[in-house]
Amino acid sequence: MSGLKTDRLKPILWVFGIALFLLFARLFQLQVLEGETWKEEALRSRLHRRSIPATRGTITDREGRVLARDRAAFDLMFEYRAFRRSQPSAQLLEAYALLGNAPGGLDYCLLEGEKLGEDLFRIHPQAFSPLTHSEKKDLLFYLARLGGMINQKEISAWAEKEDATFSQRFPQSFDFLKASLESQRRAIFRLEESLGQPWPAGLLHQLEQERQALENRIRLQAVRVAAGRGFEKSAFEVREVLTEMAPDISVPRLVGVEKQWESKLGTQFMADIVKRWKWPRSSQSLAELLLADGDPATLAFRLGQLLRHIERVQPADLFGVRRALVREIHQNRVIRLRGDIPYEAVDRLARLPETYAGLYIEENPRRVYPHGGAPHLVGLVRSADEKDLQIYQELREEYRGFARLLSRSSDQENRYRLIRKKLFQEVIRPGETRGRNGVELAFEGALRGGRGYLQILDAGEMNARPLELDFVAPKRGNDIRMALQMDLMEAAEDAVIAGYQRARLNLIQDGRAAEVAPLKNRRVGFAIIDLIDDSLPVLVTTPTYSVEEYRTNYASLVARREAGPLRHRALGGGFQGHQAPYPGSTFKLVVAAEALAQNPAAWDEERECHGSWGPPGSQRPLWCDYRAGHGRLAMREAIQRSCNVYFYQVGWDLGYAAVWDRARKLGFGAPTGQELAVLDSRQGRVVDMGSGAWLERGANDLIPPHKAKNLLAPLHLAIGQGYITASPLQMARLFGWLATGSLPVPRLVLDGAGASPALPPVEKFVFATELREKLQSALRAVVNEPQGTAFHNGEVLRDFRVAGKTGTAQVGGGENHAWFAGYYPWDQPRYAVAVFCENAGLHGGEIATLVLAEYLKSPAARKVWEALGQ
Amino acid sequence: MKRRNQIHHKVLQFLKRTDWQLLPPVAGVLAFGWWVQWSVAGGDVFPNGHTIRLLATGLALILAAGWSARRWRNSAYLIYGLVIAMLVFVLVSGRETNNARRWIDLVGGFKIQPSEFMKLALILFLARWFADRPRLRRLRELWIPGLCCLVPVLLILAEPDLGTALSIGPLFLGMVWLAGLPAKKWRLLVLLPLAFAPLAFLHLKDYQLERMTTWWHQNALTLEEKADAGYHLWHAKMAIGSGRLTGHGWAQGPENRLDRLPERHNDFIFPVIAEEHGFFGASLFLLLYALIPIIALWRAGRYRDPFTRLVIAGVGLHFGIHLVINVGVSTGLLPTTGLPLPMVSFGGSSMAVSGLAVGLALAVGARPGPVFSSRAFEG
Repeated sequence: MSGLKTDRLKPILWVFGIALFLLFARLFQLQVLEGETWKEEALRSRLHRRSIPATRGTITDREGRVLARDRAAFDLMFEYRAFRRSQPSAQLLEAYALLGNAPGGLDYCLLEGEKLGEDLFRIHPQAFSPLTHSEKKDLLFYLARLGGMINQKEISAWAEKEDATFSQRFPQSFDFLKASLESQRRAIFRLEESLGQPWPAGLLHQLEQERQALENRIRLQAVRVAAGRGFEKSAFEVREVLTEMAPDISVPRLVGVEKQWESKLGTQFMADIVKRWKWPRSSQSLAELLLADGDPATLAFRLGQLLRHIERVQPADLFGVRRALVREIHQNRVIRLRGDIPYEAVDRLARLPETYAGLYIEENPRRVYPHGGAPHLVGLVRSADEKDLQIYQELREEYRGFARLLSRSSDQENRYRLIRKKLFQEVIRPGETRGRNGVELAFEGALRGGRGYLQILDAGEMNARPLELDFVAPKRGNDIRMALQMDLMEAAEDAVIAGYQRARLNLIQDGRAAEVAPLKNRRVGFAIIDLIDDSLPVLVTTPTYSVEEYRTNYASLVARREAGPLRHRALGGGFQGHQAPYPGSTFKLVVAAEALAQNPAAWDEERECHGSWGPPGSQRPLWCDYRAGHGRLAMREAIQRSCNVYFYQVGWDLGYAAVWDRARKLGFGAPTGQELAVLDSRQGRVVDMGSGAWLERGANDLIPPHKAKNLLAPLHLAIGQGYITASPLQMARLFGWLATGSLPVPRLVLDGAGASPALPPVEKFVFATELREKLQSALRAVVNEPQGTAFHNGEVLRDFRVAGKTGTAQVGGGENHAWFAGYYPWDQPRYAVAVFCENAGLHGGEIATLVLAEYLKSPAARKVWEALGQ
Repeated sequence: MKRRNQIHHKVLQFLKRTDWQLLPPVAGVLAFGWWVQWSVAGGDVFPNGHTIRLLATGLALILAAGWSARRWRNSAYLIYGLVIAMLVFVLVSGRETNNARRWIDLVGGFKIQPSEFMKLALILFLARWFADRPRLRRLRELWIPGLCCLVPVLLILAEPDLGTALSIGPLFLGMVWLAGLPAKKWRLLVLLPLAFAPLAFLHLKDYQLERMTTWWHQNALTLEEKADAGYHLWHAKMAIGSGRLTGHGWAQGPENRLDRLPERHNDFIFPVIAEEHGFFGASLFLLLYALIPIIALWRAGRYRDPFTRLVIAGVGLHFGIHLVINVGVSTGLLPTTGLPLPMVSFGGSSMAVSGLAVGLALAVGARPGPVFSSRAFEG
């Protein structure tokens, strides 16, 4: 090649020159023109930010009665960094720790401060030689503070050149120390009085415990980071793997009471760790340490031992971890020392911030439930506990690690987004409260509001007030208005008591005292749907629990499996075997609807009931409730008198699949659609709002045809036994459809501040109005005509023009369930209702109708009735 | 006296025959880089690792300078092929760290990063290619060299290492310009990448797109963006800006000391310099570093041999491109991407390649001494 001209170089030099000029100009802009701004920004970003929690939204009932609200309260916060910069006891502790000689806790340092100070001030500059540069700098800082030195240069000069002890060089320092210790003692004592906390096991003792707990948390994280190091896992991923080792129990399924257990084990990971660290004991003992299980009193010691062991055998796993985590401890760590402190303490801390440097108040409202009703549905909140704090810390570290990566692979990016979502939306931060279950959880986003913050420049000079630099007000959460109406709910609860009482009296009067025993367990689900807007003014379960019981005695609530106060019987979930809510004869309306849809003439077809019936090929017949047999009857009478044999035959003729399909269209076999239970298509099951909430999970099951191979399956299904469960709310939906022709999707929340979940789709199907009216006539006959199964105790029901169906469901190993489901008033249906008396041992017409009657008679229900213009 | 005169004579010969002008700014930058790495290590702890790398760089420089220009020229294609093989090997069997395969493990715990060596290999390859042929006149003559650049770019992107891949483009264009492609042919060469730019955008990952967006509105970042997609940019600018005129002092920069600036030992080393030494120190450093490409490009023009010119200019381009991109990213002039600053950033391979590059420039620019017949003056 020849002829390369050198003027080819000049343009390149020019381009480079221009680029260089731009770089210089940019530097000039950033450092000279904007230098002050960036300096402020840098300072601001290093400042301590105190978050101000927002007031959570209020939850009210339909008529504005407050069900949940925040009450103003203040917490006592401990910020160790500010504390050790200003309080002599902490300065003594830190100074001694730098010299490798921790004398005791903060409380000991305050108690014996003079003696410790005197010993410390005998320090000679030679003692600094084993220290690193930053350790020496820190020790001089503390000595200066303890001795009241303002001029740091004097003390630095002493440390560099002089041959005298600290007390010799600065003789006035000890008097200063004594005075400041005395002042601190007085201040702490006064504060303890106002907190109502006795001395000596008082505030500083608690401070010391919190400080140690913080160090333990940090040590635990160090161990988890080290565990993940060799396998490219973060501390949070280590936690996830370890917690998967515990078995996860799924819900018992319906048929055959099969229990399916799921369990996952992280044993391979543990085996790898044991090998890597040459752990001398079992992998279980190591897993316990990594999960912080076992005796908390010895945890710190055992973690310390483990860290020393790792340093010996695999120091690379701890490289940089100690340094980073020690920095974590000494940065602005804020600990919530005491919640909801008395006003006297609030006042003292607010008036004397310099005296109590390191201790301050933070407004943190408390959630209260003034009414106490519907705890399953309103839900509760929970605050961050120790585990939550650890999870938050680990997630935050992992998040920061990802944010600092310049380039991320696809896997890393996915992980990063997952972590970010968890961190900002799911985990509880220190001091925060989150919905635990119910509406508090389902509408968390609307209720929570937005935290504000206060940015504070810590006192850098002695006796300087903390400087507030920036303030962002918190944003109050939105209010939620539920559809429940508390006076009606209370009326329903009272009606259960009164109804059972009446049933008991009736039995005694009828000489059936032996049947009274099951009635002492009042286990009832009661649902009412307002058919105007599908809202739920009443959704009651008994027995229930109080908020106080839940908070203080949760274990005993769980232990009461039979009574199951944590279950919501109107929603049906979480039942044990004999509690399974088979709908019984109330389900016959579905069979009737399908028969009419296939052949409208079926309404007039008569069938013979001799008291029992079996299909061809069956070895034994199934019985009717009336063993003598009803004789010949058509559909209307079969519904009115609840003839099983009639429906066995209809069910057999239709076939299992047809009835199943009709039931599915009418909402059976799926969640009812109310906001607190959703169908998770990934998990293939209903997920309630709040773990352990037991709302609809496991309820509303409908066995598909391919699993119903038994010859008698159509017969059982036809009378609502064995192959179907349905909650009272589900039955109320069915009767809502019978009343209006439109299948309701029940709403628990009237005004959800825009956060209500989308309505689930309801499959549209055509069903002739005149056919439905025929069924309605049969339902009126049940209550109004002498042979109707609800006639006997139905005076009140007739007054309120109730139409409906009783049901009596047999359960293996337990007493019968009793049902009544219907709607009223039958001429202009406004409410659909279902009452379910679990294992009551009586017919629906003997108890469920009584409960409904007592409700309708109540003043609250009457008021509503009158408001309808009735 | 005779010995001193001999040494004096040898030094003069060295000064006459080599481009020694490169050495002072190189030495200055290496020393500055060592000083800054000590600060990054905490100030307390002597940077043993970096000191060893520094010595290794010097050794690489001397070894490369000791190889003759002829040998470098003859080995150009072989070196290129070898490095390509290493790039393939690293994708297949390289060490995986944080889901990236960029390193090959050697004996004794050492590791090398082939993508760094590819920069040097490309300079050699392109210099040899263009030097062996008549002056570039048509675009179609760029097919093969273009392909030979594209292949390593794709291999490097697969690691993945976006920053290094991006730095190869300007190097290629610079070498093509120096090889003499007529100005009017450049329209297409410039328009083509612009036309493909939207396609490239589609292949960017979400976080890379987020970084582009935050870079675009970097003066109005939200709190979340400062903690997330804009984290590097924000902290880099904060470190630089807060240094103001004179800086915080060696090992005293808060962003450095508090470990808030990510990759501060590597891709974001310049903000540490600016934070601790201020505008004066950072400008001095920039000038010192800029001298390397300026001197290299200036000296390149003084040679007649095209291979020599292209190699020395290529070495100058290498340092110049890295300086502009690295400092441009740190100051927010360019979108965030990871590219180290040679001779200053932590990283054995980068340091070694820098030493080799300077040594290469010295080697090809070395003029042979006068050769006299041993019988020249015999009667």
